Amino acid sequence: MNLDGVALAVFIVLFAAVTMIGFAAGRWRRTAPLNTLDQWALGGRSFGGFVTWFLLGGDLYTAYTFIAVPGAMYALGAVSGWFAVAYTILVWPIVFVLMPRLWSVSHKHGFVTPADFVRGRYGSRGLGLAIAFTGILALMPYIALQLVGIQSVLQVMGLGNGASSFEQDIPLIIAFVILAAFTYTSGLRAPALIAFVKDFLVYLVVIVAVIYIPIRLGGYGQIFSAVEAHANAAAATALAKHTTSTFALLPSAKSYWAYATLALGSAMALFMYPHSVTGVLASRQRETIRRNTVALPLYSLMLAFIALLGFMAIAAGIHTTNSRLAAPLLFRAMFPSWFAGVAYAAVAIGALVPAAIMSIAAANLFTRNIYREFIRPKATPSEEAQVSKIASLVVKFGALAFVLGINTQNAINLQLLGGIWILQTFPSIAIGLFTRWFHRWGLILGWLAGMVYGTYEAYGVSTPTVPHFAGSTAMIPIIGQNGYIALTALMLNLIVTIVVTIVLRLSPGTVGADVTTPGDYVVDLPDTTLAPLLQLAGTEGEGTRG
Amino acid sequence: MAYVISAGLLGSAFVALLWVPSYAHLTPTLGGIPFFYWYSLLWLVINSGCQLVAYQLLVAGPRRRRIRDARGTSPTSQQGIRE
Repeated sequence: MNLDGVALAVFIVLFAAVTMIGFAAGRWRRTAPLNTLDQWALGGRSFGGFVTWFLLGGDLYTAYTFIAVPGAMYALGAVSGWFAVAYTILVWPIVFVLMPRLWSVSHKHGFVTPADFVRGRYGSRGLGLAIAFTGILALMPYIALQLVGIQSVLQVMGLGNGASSFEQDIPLIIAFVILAAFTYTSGLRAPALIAFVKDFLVYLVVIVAVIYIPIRLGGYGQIFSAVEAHANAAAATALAKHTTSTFALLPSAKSYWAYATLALGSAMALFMYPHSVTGVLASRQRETIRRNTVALPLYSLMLAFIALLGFMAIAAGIHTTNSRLAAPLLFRAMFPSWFAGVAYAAVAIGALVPAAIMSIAAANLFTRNIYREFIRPKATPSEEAQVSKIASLVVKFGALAFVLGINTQNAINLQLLGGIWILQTFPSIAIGLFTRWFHRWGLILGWLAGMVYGTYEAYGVSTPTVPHFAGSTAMIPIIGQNGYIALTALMLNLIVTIVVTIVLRLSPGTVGADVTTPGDYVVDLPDTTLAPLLQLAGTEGEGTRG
Repeated sequence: MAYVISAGLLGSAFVALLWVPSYAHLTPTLGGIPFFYWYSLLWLVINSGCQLVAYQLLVAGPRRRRIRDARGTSPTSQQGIRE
């Protein structure tokens, strides 16, 4: 692709502005030095509803949204692409139910990571380690997806098409360095502040794209007609070759299970990721989260429109064998250069924010649940913050390994692969919020079974061009349908956990100590609007401001 | 009771969206958009509304009742409904 000078100039200006905000953010709302984990990694736990909305939305709104989902819609259609809409709707009721409890218990006990909670709940260092390890592992392909997103827009702008492999990797290296530098210096405040700019840009681009592009293409009716024609043509070609088409306009009887399990599994997985939990814990009050879930579906709506960009690319006659370039190429074809530059910047910044949040979360896990737990129990707070900063760099190198080691054309698979692993922590974290009937050793063995099965199955998924990790669905035993590996592995995980729990519950004394009490799951700060009133009336309420 | 209603409201989106054969159809179209696609988006709106009602039932309502009780204008007892 040839270099697009105007787009590149606009992109560089916007990106430079955001980078400066990122570095300056270290001083935003600072009440204490940044050398403790609470300050560096949770922004001082001081964020109100508005900032929390942006932060939580940022978790959802990543390169996954702008690159992977339209790419999947473009190449594969409804089942592998549109399921993301069902997924991002179903995630909010799950947040509504689970996250206030996690906020309360974490607030009460000073938990920073999901692994902290599990360790305290089950009195098991080993289980805490398993949860921490899974979090770090699962975040790597997810961060890798963000790097792939940035790489995609740089590529479409004409960078990284050089002859040598070094020149081809330049975009990736640039993305990597910027991300690493400002997370290191500013911690969570950087992505939180940039999230405002990011959302403004993203909304601008999305609103323009979903109005302007359909007008150019003759309306949504025309777009869907073109996609239907494309689907029929793909089916005819496949029939001639005696294969089946991989593109689907609608889920067929063979893919109902795949669609439903991908949606449900992804929805259950999202808030098991440590970075999503970070966004939740950084909020100031328990009910901030619930109130937000009413407005957060706006992000899901945006995602749906962005998904349709993949279909618009088909209607616009975009041809690429690299589906992750579908949306950027559509921008290039449809927008004037300067606005294409804005759009690329929106995508790149939209990848940068979550990547920063994710690497901070993974670093926290390492510091609190591996370093302090097993290596240096007497680490000082400033030492912890320092270790976290370095760990955040290491995690990014892990992400880089995924970019280089796995086929990234089917970018959505990077996120689905992370989901297979992270969902294995669901019994310990999500079910643990309500009951601790499960035995800690049952949870560990169940986790192990789920991890091994899930990894093995995903490794075995191949296409003619990609030998391993080519997709995230496989045959579900007993049911005999194709489904998301994450959920099948979770079922195995639960069966093992339950069986082991029943057996071990027979021998008392092996159940670990629980540091939490039932009341811890519903505590909230004194309500700042309510407290003065209560005080006035001389009833309960301490009137202390949070 | 508030819990039961909320559970029903929050659960409805799961039933609707995971029961794929119920909506994997091309027709009726809406402005040229196949049923499958606009129906998904319809549930996005319905679910958001359900969450709003559940929030009112579980959080905002009890809080209002506590405020009213605190002011002593409520005919009901000081107890209020716990969240």
